[in-house]
Amino acid sequence: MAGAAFLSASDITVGYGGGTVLDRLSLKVERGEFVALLGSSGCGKTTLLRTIAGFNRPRSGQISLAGRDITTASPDRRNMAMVFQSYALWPHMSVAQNIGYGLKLRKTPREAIAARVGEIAAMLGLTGLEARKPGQLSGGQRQRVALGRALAVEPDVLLLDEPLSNLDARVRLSLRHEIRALQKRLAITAIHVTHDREEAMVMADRIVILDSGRTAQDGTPEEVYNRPRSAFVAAFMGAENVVALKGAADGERIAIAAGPHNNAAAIARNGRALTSGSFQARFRAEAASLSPVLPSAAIPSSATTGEDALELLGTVRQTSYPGGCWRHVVAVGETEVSVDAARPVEPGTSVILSVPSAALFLFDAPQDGAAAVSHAVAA
Amino acid sequence: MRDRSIGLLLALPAIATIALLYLMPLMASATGAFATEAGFGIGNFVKTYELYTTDILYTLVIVSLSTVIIAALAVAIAGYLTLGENPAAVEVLRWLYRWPLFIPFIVVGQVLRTFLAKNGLMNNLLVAAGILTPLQTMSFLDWRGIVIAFVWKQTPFVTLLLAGAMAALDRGTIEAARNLGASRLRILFEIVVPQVRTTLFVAMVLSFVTMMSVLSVPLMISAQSPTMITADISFRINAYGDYGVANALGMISLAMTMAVAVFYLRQNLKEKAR
Repeated sequence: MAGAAFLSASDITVGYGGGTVLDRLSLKVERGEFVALLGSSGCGKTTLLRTIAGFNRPRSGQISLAGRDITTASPDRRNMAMVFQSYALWPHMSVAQNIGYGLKLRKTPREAIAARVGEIAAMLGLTGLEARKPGQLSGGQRQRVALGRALAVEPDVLLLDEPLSNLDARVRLSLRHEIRALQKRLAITAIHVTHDREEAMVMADRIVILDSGRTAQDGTPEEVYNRPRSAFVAAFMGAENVVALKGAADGERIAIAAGPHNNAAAIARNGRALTSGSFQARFRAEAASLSPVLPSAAIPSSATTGEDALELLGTVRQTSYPGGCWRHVVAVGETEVSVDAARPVEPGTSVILSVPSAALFLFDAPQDGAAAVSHAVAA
Repeated sequence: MRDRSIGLLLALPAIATIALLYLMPLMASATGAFATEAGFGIGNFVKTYELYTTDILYTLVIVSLSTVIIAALAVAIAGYLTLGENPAAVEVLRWLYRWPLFIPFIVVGQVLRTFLAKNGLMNNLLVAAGILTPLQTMSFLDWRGIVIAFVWKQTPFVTLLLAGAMAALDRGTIEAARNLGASRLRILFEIVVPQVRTTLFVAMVLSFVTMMSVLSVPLMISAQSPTMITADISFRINAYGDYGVANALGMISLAMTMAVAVFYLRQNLKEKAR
């Protein structure tokens, strides 16, 4: 075992029946770190969490916690506490009994349990609700109780299985920050499963993006957002506009050839892994700037070469106002892209879209299944 | 207004059926319980009290005891089906436990009569195994035989309802407890059973009422005195043509099941009020 991460899963393979859900996946989590497992449904993120919790047994691979091999340990021998998407509160017990149950199992004296329950309730804003049953609480309060129940036993690792996805948007936003603040204050190690990109970005120290049972990328929110390593990650992180380009990668420069709908451009390589030939360019709606051109100027010319920016030529198809800025659907040849602009541009106008190098994600064009990648985007 | 009368008209056949086939015989039986040769009076109940007090208590004890044992076994079996970790064992149990459901009470009585008798199969096996000597063997064909027959026949029914309710629980509530370190036994009694207690009550009440009405088992296993109310009713009618006392016994039997039903309804209301 290389390294001494607090929690480490190495090469774990998990399957149900004949299928494989996790394929030789590895994950390391440091003490006190908040890691988000992000992915669309069916990517294996919940399976990974449940395997760490001990509810699934891996077919192969090893899981260790603080240097101890816990691969085959039962869920109750791992000192981890899980918060479930469905809250999974015990309906026949009061809030105080729910929070105190883990301590009762540990044979903590009654007075100590009462003190700890009071402390947790105060910390989570549940004071005064201790005698209520879960059925008499709101969704947000229920999830707080579930969180309190997990925190009461002071677990080594807190496992959060989409804890916010059943809540109203507003409650969700405030709980995000509460959970994060609490995690920092208690310096607790947490693994959070979510399919919500923004939630992962806001809450986590590190994001692990999963794609069909494998790690697609593992990095800080800033890294995965600005330097996606694959088209899948770029799409998942919101770069949903796709344009096909041709060009050559040469040393530190990438030369993009002029096409029917784009000007030639010279882009700094900046660590992009590319081979010459066909590229797939991805960018976010807010990353491009949009400027109308006179009809006569809308002919591609190899004379103009964009420096560190890609210029695309297109026609505005649709304009709408989702709030904050105007969103335009722009046809660039066969494909349509979304572009935000401060001022609306009339449909039918020919425009130049300029995507700065820093916001332009270039990948080698997939041999096949390009459509599959561009659609593999969740929420 | 017209719609309402049409609705009433549509329900009329059902109401008439209930009135004719259920309410009228019940009323006839109730009034019959008070009809004596000397006219309307409580003579039948006095006679019943003199002759059958022991049998009434005997019935109450047997059926109550059976209900408690059935509930305990059903919780154990349904609990294992829900929490068991050996898939093969769970599968075998799931397949086996329902069999008695499909066997009629009379056959259960007959099977157990040959099994539990002093020279029956059970004692023969115990003797052959060297656990008992032939002199130590005894017949179980008394109240114990009836309890065994009832438990044998009714446990699958209660288990069926209970296992269904347990399977419908949010697995998360079980996993959360397991995750915090609860043993399976604690999960069963502190997490699972409290959540299905209403189903358990219903199943116990239904089972109690069913057992109160079984005639074949007491007749097959232990028809001598003391015996169960059903056997007494049958005896009063077939041996003496004494419908009065039979009806009185029937009313007492009804009162016992009603008491259980009221207890159940109250429990249900309390649950809803919470």
